[in-house]
Amino acid sequence: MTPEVYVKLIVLAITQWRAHQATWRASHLNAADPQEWSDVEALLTLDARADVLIAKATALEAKYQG
Amino acid sequence: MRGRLLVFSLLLAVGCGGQVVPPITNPDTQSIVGQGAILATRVVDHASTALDAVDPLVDAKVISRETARAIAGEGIQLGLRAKILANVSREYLAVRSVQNYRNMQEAIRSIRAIVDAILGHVSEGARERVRVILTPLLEAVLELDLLANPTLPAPGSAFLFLTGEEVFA
Repeated sequence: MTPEVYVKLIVLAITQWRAHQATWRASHLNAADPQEWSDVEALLTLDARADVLIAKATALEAKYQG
Repeated sequence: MRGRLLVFSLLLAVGCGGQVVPPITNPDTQSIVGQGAILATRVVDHASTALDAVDPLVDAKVISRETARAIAGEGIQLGLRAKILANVSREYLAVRSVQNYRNMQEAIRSIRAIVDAILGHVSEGARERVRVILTPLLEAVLELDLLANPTLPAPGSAFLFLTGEEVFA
């Protein structure tokens, strides 16, 4: 594996760790506020679509590697 | 040696602890999280569509394999930045501090920077060929940037590839 791959893995690990932290914090949200839950839902969608983009881009990068 | 370790530990503690800042009490700022998430999702989706177009563009020799690889690399970075935006936005919802709000703005700025970088990989001659693909991406990231930073695009930005009329035509 190249150094760039290691860097990406570390960045991804940090991102995942921060996501875990944020999820824990988000569990303390105000359940009575529908606006807040609507925001959380939009953020979860963003997170999931970002995963799809990363997977697609990683496959594309591997295809044109070398 | 111990002195250096102490200084390092202190710096680490300060870095991890962050600043103590007063909470934001303006309710108008709350909905910006949802709006930002929706617009950022649109940016990610358009970037995903743009990646779908990379293979045909390489086959048609509009862009080189190296450019395709570079664009894919930016795509990974864009995805990571989008995840960071989602994370800092969730932190903002939980903590509602000024620092969290600034982190959201910074994440949005970095998303725009990545889109600028993607455009920077497309040569002058190829831009017209890929305009149909890039315009929705530009439009979405411009809206996202304007939400976080309500000022005009800075001079020298990749948005100068297309005029405002062209972007919103």
